[in-house]
Amino acid sequence: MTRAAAPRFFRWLLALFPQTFREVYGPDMSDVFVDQLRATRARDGRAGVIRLWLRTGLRMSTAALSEHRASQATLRTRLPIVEDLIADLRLTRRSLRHSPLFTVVAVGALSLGVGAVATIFSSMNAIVLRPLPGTTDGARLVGIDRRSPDWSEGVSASHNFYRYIRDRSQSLDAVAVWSRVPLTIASGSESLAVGGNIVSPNYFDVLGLRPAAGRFFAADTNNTEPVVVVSHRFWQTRLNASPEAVGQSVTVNGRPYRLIGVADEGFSGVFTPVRVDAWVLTSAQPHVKPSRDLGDAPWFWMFGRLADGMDADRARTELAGLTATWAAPGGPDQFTRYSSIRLVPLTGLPDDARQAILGFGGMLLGAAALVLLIAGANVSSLFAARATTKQREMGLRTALGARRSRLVRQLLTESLTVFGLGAGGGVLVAWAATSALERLPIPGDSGLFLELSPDLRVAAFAIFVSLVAGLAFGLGPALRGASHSPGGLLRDSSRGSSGRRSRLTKVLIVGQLAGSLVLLAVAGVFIRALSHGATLDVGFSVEDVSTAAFTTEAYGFNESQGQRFFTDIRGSLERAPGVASVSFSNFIPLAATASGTTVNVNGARTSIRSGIVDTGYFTTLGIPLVAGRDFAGDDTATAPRVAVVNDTFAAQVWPNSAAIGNSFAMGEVRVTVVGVVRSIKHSTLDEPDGPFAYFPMSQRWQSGQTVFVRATPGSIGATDAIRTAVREAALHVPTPHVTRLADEITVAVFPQRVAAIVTGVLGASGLLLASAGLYGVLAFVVSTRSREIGVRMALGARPSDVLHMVVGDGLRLAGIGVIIGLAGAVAATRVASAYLLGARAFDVPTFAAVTVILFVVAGLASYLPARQAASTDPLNALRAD
Amino acid sequence: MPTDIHDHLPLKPVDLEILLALADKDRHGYGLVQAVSEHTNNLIVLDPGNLYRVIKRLLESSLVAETGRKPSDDAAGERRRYYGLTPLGGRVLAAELDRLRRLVNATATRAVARRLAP
Repeated sequence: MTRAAAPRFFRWLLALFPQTFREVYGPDMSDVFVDQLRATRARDGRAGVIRLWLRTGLRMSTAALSEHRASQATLRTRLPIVEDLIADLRLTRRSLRHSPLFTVVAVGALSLGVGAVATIFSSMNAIVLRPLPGTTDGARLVGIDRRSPDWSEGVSASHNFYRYIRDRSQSLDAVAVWSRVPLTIASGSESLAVGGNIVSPNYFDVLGLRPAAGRFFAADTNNTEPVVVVSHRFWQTRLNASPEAVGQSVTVNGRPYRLIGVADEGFSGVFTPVRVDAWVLTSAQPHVKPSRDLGDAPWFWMFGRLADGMDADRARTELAGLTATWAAPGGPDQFTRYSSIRLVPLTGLPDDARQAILGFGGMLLGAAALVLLIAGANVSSLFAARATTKQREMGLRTALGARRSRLVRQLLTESLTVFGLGAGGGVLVAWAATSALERLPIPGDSGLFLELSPDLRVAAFAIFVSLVAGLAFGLGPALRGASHSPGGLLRDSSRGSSGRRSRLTKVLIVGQLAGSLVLLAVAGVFIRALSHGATLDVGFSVEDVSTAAFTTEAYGFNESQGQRFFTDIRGSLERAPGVASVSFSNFIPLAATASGTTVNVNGARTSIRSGIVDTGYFTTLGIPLVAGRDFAGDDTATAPRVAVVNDTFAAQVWPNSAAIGNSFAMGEVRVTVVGVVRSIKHSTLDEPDGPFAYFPMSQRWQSGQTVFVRATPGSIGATDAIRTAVREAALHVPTPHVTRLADEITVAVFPQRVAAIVTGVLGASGLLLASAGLYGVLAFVVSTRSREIGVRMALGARPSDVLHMVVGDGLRLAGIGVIIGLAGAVAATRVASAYLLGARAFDVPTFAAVTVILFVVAGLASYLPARQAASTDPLNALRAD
Repeated sequence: MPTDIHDHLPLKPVDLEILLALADKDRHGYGLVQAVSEHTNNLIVLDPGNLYRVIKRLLESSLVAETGRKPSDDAAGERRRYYGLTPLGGRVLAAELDRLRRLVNATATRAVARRLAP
């Protein structure tokens, strides 16, 4: 728990107080609580902090109610319903205080369950649901995607298209564009590579952001001086949050820019997981992105703000009409296929990724909901057991004239209070769990970072979920608890457990065991998928290969300077000791960076993916050449265009003849195939091989390239060699971030890893709850059967017989749970099978393993009460009552 | 507002503790929480909600007054709202302590205490 988060939860508690009271004393109450937190943490550590939270939560809510009542009392007469509620809460507080073990176990179990659901919901909320942080009225912001009429394919916006939409749209108040651009910012002697955005001047205003310092671009539309806005994080870490830094000149890509402002804290561009630290204007394009233009090149993301009273559907209709006109054949635009528009909420991710995460998160949410069900069933049986012990009290109160509805309400208040505390605990669990998830290393040099912590929406969700669970699982015990005739209860309190009740408790236990088996099985198949993924043949060899990415535009180089830079690095690396081979490309396999294109073979259009590579690429990555040759020095920019294709391409396009020497068309250009290589995996480990074409760097030079260096086996690796080569080639280039290719491609199994960790933790929590429940039930059964056990032992049963009997009871329950759980697991793992990288969903060893785990844990949970039963002294047991 | 001190007696236990804590010096909210829990051996640990409900009540009955905002010495110089005893509060506290003293010292009370002592 950090200092910063505590007041936020506390503010929610403050919201319970009457507004006038809150306005006067709210800030002071927060101060006091922060001090209490600090002192408690120093004195009693984490456990003390949790106790303080629970105590404060309970007391503050009753204090708030009393204050409401006090402020109402001065105005009008008291409401009886509020009076009853306060009385119920008082009783609840007293009764929970008197059974601390019950309270701690029940609240703990619910905190786990609600926490699991809230953690997943919080992560999904942060990534795909909530509007961009810092924006004003973010729900009215829409991403504008130009798509083909069936929306299956899309194209980025060109600057001309942006101006066209901006000038004509009536349904949008304003439209802005942005694109990614790597930047190098020099402060002092140090050069720093940062993620940058190139944006239209109205970008920040359309988003409705306020600068943390200085100003944004609005006034710079006609200004010729280049300007830059930096992120709050950059301002703090690199410029020491100095107000003087604003207005100063900084060096961006080798040229002076004026730093005019600092973005809002927490704002990191429109796609939040991608870290952005600087924004420059589209007018800086000739300098920072000379390979593009502000004409017809499609390279921008577009978004807008809906006009007042306009909904997304009507806006879409208008924009689609405008786009159809723009894309009409013979019109101003060459991308005639993309004549439609899709509007998406602007929530921090491109829409495709958003859909994928919604599906994946939905699956994990289902797993978390199972933990909540287990916890709810667990607490329900706790309440049932408690009702048994409270029968006498209830009977007494009925005898004294309490109405049944009053008793039900009091019992329900008690369960809702426990579930409410569980909601609070759940938010704390979610808070801790999401900060653990945030620290989960994201593979590769992706510059990604996630902010997953819960917000008010998550808290509301947790409370809602908890109340629903409280009603679902608390109403039953409450009704039954209050449904006794006073006479019978007062007469006989010791043999209160009816067969029906203990049967229901057993059903609940079997359900919990079955649920945990399902979770464990899902976790098991994800772990299998991970290890399966590690053994899949990706088609290239990653051992001993290091990579580093460069963007010469970001260093202020023009094309010939850039070419010289890469040639220099290559030369110096090839001379370095321990380096076997070197090459460059514009993508990293399995890091989802290859681009798609369309080619024309004998009049037929084929969608392929393609990448641009330098000579020696196939050797460096260990991709076998099947036929023909690699690119060579004489494939120059003026020589005939050539390509190397993969065997899938060759087999698909020329099934009956050799591919070498054949050609295909890309736009106006004819390309001749000079080589065929084996297919490799490009975006996912379980994808079917698709057609892929490699083009030579010498014919399509790229300013953004990744170097691949294969070290000779047993050498120390190439990190130092790459850094030295870069330093020798150009002093002012930021020190590159060198990673191992093996690490880069683990991004391909990142979802599986997250799923394995999350479902593993959920499964362990479920098993913990279920075994605690099993233990509780058996202990209860043993205590009610002590008389019977005493008789058995008096008649000559040995302790080991009693041990077997009780453990046998437990294992029988576990057995039923396993049978139901296995059926559920088969269904659940099938749902997960889309993410299993081709590993089998119905995996016998996995299922066998989790069954064994469940039986072992159930056996342990039964052994403890069994041992107690076996040590029963028959005389004592018979003498009781 | 009643000015007769006997209208305020007897004091609620928490009110008495707060007034006692303010008798030697002005304190801010957290200072009061600390003083009260020290003085009662952690029998009374106030949460912020109930603390300010009591403060509000004492302010309304003019037993306590705000004595301004000062930088506190323990919280990095943050400016906190301080509270102090009013002259009326002082008189009420004195009267209540006197009442308690007479209660404890009464012959009947002593007899009960002797009888119940372990």
